[in-house]
Amino acid sequence: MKDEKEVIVSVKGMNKTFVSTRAVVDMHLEIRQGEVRGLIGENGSGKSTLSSMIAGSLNPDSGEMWFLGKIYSPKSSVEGQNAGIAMMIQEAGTINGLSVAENIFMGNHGEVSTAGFVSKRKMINQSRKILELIGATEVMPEKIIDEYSFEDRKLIEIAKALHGNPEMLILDETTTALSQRGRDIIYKIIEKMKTERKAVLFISHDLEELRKVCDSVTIMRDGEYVSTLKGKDIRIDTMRQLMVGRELKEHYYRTDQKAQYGDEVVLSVENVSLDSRLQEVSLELHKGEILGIGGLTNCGMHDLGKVIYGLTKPDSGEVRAGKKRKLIKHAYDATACNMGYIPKDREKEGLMTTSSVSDNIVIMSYEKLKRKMLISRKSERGLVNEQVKKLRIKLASINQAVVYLSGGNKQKVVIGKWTANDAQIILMDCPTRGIDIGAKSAIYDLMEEFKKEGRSMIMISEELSELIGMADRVIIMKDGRISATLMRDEGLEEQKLIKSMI
Amino acid sequence: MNENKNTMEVKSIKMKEFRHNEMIQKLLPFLGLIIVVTIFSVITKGQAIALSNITIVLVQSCIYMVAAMGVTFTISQGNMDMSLGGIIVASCMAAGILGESSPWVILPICIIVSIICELIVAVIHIYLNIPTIIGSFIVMYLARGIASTIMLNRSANIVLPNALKTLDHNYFYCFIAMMAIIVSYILSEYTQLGKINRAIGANQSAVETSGVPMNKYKILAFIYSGITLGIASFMMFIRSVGVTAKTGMGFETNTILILVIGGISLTGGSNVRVIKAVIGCLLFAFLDNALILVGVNSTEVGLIKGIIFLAAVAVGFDRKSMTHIV
Repeated sequence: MKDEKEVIVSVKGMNKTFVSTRAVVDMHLEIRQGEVRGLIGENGSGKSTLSSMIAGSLNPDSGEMWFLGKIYSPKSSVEGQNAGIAMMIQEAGTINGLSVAENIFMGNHGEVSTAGFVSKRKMINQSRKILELIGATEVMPEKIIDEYSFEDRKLIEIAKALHGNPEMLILDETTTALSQRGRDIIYKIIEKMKTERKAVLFISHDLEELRKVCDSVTIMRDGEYVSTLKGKDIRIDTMRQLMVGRELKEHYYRTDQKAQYGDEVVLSVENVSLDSRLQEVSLELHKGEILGIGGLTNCGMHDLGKVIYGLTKPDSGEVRAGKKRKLIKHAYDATACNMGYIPKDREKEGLMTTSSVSDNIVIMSYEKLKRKMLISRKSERGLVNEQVKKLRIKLASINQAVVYLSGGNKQKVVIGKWTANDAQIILMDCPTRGIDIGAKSAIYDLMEEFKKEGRSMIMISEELSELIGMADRVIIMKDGRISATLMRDEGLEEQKLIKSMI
Repeated sequence: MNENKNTMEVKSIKMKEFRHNEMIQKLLPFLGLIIVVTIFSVITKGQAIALSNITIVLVQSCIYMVAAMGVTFTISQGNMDMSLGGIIVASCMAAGILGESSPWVILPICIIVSIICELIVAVIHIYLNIPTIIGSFIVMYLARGIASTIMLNRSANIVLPNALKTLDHNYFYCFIAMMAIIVSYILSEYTQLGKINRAIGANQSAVETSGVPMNKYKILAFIYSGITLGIASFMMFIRSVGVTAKTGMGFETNTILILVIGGISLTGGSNVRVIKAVIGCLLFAFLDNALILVGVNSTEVGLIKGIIFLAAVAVGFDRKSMTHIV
């Protein structure tokens, strides 16, 4: 059997060191024809480094790679692509201001040009074919790429990657930012690659997804190979355990099944509408409640978050918060009502990554700290240390730049900004996006603590499992409207939620 | 166990290296000052560090020092201000004309005109959503244009009233510069103004998304810059005993040079510190003076400044090479 399935890629004794961090240590890996291989590990475990080396965008310090039976040592991602390995990264890889077709054929105009002149018509026709092939039929190749959402752009990138007809496709957390529809398209492509006896290396934090999609899963920890699970052995608890390297505690989410919260309404949204994105949305948040908001990416829930926090002005309707039922017009009205906002895009909107942890945590608390106009270093330090201890942020020094922290700890710094200012209402937009299991579990623990302290939270999330796991009440949105409200004690089930989503 | 220890070790090495780099970044301007002073002391056989010469250098640096203190606040937001020279000539001119009858209005008028001009830069930036580097260029040309038109149409020269001539003394300049440094240091390190301004430079959208009234701090920074620039104009007026169309020419580019050789990142953020601007100022004044002592032709001074600029940027520029894949 083994001989029949030829090895597509094999990696032996690979090492890579950044400055003095050993990112990948003596790694080995073998992927065969028609195999969908998952690659998991906590943040910083070396998955992206390894896959970048395979794709050619990073050069290893030592070790060798074989591709289709030949020694393979790409100097750049272009060489990797020409050899037949295409990689999709987590961040956006399209170029704004160009049309979809131009993006797809970027750097590869050979087949659509005659005597050096690119035929626009040919390019558009070819692009349409490729887009149809992957099932993204509503994307128009002649349109400028800026008109498309992040999700559509991801699909366009996939079209670009598949256009070269690669032998192997590497997906680095590509599905993290996608809704179910985008994910389905990717699963279909994976399935197709498989039937064509090609290989896929699939990196994801979503263990459930890996279990469904992959034939085998390799686990990495601290840059080293830990184990490879195959077939029926791919179980979520085993994967978790191998990733973290110790037994995880029993519960991950909340254990109680009761919806418990106070009667007092701390925040109310009344008939909020925003062009085509939100229509007549009303909701109430109670003291000590975790209110989950779920739906597909474009259902309007992220916009709703921004409206509630006063970052986007609604066309009609109003948001009121606090005992005095203060009208929220700007984000600073919201902070004045003891609200806090954890944005979806942590690096861009949540943190000053080159500034110190301390500067990030105290930014909203200067008013509170100042005595006669002046803010003392000592009071700042005290407040920061308090948050670091409470939130169990792992760091070397509070003066270290945030950029050196792991994803989970970065998120804790964002949370620390609000606990420092003693926020009572915390709005979380995808609070566990792109962070590993250990850190996720820590954030859920914090949410439970906050709930016990009587703080209220709104959790906007694209992950149904965490809505089910944490929320007292779940609101499901569809096309800018609330399509269902479900209580925790009625038994939240994935099927019920999905039904209201689509 | 062993594995765990291993990663801890790796992490601690990483941290050490990081601190090491940070230390170098912090010390670089000081080192630069020491190196440059030593080199020129040797070349001029000690003449450059003679007490009398040091006094000259200090006094020369004072006007730039006062203006640079205010600019530190706007640059910490990442907002480049190219209007300084134009504002100086406009405020000196306005103060000179209105001060002919009563010399006591000269300082207030310098400050008021400067604040108004800086506010225009801020308003263009905030309400028209135009980068300050463009808005400030516009204000610089407008201010200089208005000032030279008015001066051209006046028969009499604008001169300093006799009552203020007594102020032209080394102690006066040094005292004001010291005050400016102290006040700016406190504002920058111990108040919201300095701290939030740096945060704006580090990541404007994070500050806005958090719910900080950002525009308020932007405007405050420009007002403070207007105050220090007004005082600098006053000092300039006294030192040059009159105003001409060329007053303050090139002031903005020299100020930028001062910030850069002091090790300040022009994109703003957490590395902008008052102390760096002070060092940049001293280094700049010392160089200016030393080049003359060495006997460099005044036409070649510009060339040498350019080379120094290049060296300062090549060695000390914060390239933010912090993002890498792990």
